[in-house]
Amino acid sequence: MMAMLLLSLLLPTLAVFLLFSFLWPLRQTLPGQRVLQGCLAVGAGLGLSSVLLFAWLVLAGAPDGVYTLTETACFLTLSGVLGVALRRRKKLGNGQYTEKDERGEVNAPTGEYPVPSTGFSEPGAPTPRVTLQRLVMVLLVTGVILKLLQFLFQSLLFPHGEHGDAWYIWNLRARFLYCGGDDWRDAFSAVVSWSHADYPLLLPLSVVRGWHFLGRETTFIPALVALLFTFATVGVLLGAVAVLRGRTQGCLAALVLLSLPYFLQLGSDQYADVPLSFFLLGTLVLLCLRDTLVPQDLSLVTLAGLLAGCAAWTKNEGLLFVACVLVARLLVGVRRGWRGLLRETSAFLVGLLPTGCALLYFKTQLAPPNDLIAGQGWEPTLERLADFSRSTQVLKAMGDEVVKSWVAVLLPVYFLLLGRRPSREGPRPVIGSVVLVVGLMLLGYFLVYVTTPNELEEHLVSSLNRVLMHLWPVVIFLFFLSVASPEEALGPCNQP
Amino acid sequence: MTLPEQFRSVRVFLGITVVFLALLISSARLRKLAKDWDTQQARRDMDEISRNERLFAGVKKQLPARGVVGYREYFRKGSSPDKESRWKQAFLTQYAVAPVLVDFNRNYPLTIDHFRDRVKVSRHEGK
Repeated sequence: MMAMLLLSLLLPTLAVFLLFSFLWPLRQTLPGQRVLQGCLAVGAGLGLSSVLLFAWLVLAGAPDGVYTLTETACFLTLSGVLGVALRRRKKLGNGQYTEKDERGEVNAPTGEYPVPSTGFSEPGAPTPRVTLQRLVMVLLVTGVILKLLQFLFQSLLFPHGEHGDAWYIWNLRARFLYCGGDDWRDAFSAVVSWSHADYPLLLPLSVVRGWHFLGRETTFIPALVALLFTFATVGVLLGAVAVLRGRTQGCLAALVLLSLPYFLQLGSDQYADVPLSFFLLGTLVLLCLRDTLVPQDLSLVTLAGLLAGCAAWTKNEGLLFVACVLVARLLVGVRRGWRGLLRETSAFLVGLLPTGCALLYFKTQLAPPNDLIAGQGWEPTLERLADFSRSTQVLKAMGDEVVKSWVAVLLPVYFLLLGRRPSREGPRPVIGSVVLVVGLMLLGYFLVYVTTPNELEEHLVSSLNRVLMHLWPVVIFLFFLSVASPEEALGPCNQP
Repeated sequence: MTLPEQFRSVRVFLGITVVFLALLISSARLRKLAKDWDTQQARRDMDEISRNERLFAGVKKQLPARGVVGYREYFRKGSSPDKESRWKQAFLTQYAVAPVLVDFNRNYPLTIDHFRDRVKVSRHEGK
């Protein structure tokens, strides 16, 4: 059974990894690229397999042995097809590789993206820099071990999650879906509407899948899913920053994320906020890579759409995120012309399709109304919006939370010490739309709090730290694109 | 303006130290968790949800595989638990007996009676 569980995790990851490799528009392997693709594949694999299980539940009822076989066959076939296609393309050497030159023009298919010159094993790199790179690597490994231990103890002591949401929402839903048999729809009964039965199903279905492959219900699976998402988020950040700014910078970004007090706590508590932050980061990283490296390419946009869809399939806030991405891309892309914008939006929507269909069915056929939306009405909402004291209260709480999360302290101190990224060094990451999405998300969260029909103070206390955690990995990503790397801060090397 | 090499090295060293210190401070909880894990008593009693699961283990066998049951809570004379902990206990009951639905607002032929430290299932014929 353990072998089956392992297979259930490995196969979707492998299939999605091969999909990422197949659609990846760059020829050469950049530092951190495999880490990035691998970690993205872990989360997206869980996302896609949860959609498959949902489709099975709706069309065929409770999953049985046939489901296990069908799912395994699906992912094996997909992996096989993609593997063969990749091999063939490698042999033929005619991949759809495109590159951006110094002026921002796209050259296809020749040209190499200038790899950030901060790799570990550059021949002839001066000794202090190699020592520095090794030191940062050792620190990261130490940090990961420490946090893995913390996660392990936390999960052993609190197997159902230490705080509410894990059992109150996600694992309760998973129990209904797994143990309910053909009555799995009871999970959305009005009797349990207090447990936010309208929340999307990526997380509970991932847990159900694990139980199904293992053959029994156990607290090990939700903890494992939480572990995968928590450390895959760190991996995505590491890989993405490494691709754009070099490995040392990537390792430091990962260290900063690991050091945020709530990050590991929320992860080991089995909350959906860390998986959501994983998908938010993944989507924006892919869009940033596309804008920076291959602005004419559409495959990265499709992959970003896939991850954004998974975000919406994880939590309702993911829907706000999808809307913010579309608006931000519209605002940024409109200068490049409507035609390009239309192509880009279509590519994004194609990626969004699998999870979008599942979500549409769920929201229209199964989910009860959302409590925040059901509690709104024109008059009370406008009254709440016009109440200046509510806005002040939300802004103050947000400011306090930023300080508590250490981001407001740690990042400025680090920036003061290392300084800004030298403007002439390497390719300049294009981050306009990412910054805009973060801004729009913050505005969206602000408005949700100001207009909440719930008691405002209680709503803020119970959720603000989690809500802001959705964005911290992205903020750290943006920060490490803008701050000087240790190698740059040391200045030009005096090589012979 | 170019800073002297030594000064730049110190700044980089300090920057990395700040990040690693933040990581160490944020890992302080690890020590407490390890200590708790070391204590046998803590392992059994710390997790409220596991305690609740044990409490409901017997009751689950008396309930049907699916369906809806009622819920009643009983307090000691003179004690009045706050609303929040009462709701929490009710939600924990639902978590423990899922996929059976627990309706807190209506009467059903089968009801879970929740006392302070024990639970039982009672039948109410004709309701």
